[in-house]
Amino acid sequence: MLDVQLKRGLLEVCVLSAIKYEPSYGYQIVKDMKPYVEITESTLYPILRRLEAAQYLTVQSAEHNGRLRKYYHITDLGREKIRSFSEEWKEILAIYQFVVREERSNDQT
Amino acid sequence: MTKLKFLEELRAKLAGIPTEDAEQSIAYYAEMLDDCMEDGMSEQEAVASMGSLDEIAARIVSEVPIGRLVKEKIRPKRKISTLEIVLLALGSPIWLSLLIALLVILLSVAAVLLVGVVTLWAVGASFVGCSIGAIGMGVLMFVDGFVAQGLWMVGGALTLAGLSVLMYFASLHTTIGFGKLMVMPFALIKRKLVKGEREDAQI
Repeated sequence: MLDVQLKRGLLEVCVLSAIKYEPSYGYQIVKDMKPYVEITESTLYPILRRLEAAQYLTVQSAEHNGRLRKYYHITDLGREKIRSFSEEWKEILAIYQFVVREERSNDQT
Repeated sequence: MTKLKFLEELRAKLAGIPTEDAEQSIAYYAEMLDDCMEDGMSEQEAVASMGSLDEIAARIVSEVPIGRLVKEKIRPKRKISTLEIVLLALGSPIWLSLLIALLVILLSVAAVLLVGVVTLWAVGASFVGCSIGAIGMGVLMFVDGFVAQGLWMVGGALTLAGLSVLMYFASLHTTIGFGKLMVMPFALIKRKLVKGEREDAQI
């Protein structure tokens, strides 16, 4: 089970990268993320609110089939967030590889 | 359950939070349900895929900052009568001072607990200091030819060093416990506020 804080941070970056190429809406974001990470409609909502408050994304309503749908657009700050995330994880990956290597050498003895 | 019924029940469960926050989340779920149905789900399936209403409501409530919750709760539901204002003003020397006294008592309890935590760290730090000093002393005694005394000093220093490790864990856990204790009242107040509202709404 992942640490709550860690999972929260991961989900935030996942949502940002779900809209990094083109704006998307709630249902589509959940659908795009589901193959990779466990997310539901109700967990997505607070994440979107937080990302909006932090100005990582903006919300724009557009008409769709006679009703309004909210589209989430990534901001420059949001792109910056994804960049710094991938930098951080390069370091974490290096640590991970070290940890795994140690485990292997223990198995052989 | 139909979409309308779902949204209606959600609205009832969100009675305790500011209307703006509640309406925004209801709009979100309405859009979600529409998109689910557009994607081929039946209305029933779409509602079922949202999960439990209680969990949804609890999650939304937990995300509303406590400041906003308190503001919403304090805003009177009906106009306060002139008599009530007069009574509040006249009674203020009593209830205001009682309230301040209560707050001061709570704050001093927190301060006393904090002093305990700080003391633990200080004791741990003094162990470390003494241990380093005693090692130096022991070495000096060795050099001066007092072998037995030197050994005794170094032994004492090592014991202190061991104790300081224990002290470190004790202090750490106490600090974490203290932090949790300080957060508790806010979580409690929050739960109380929302629960009270919900009961009001049902009546």
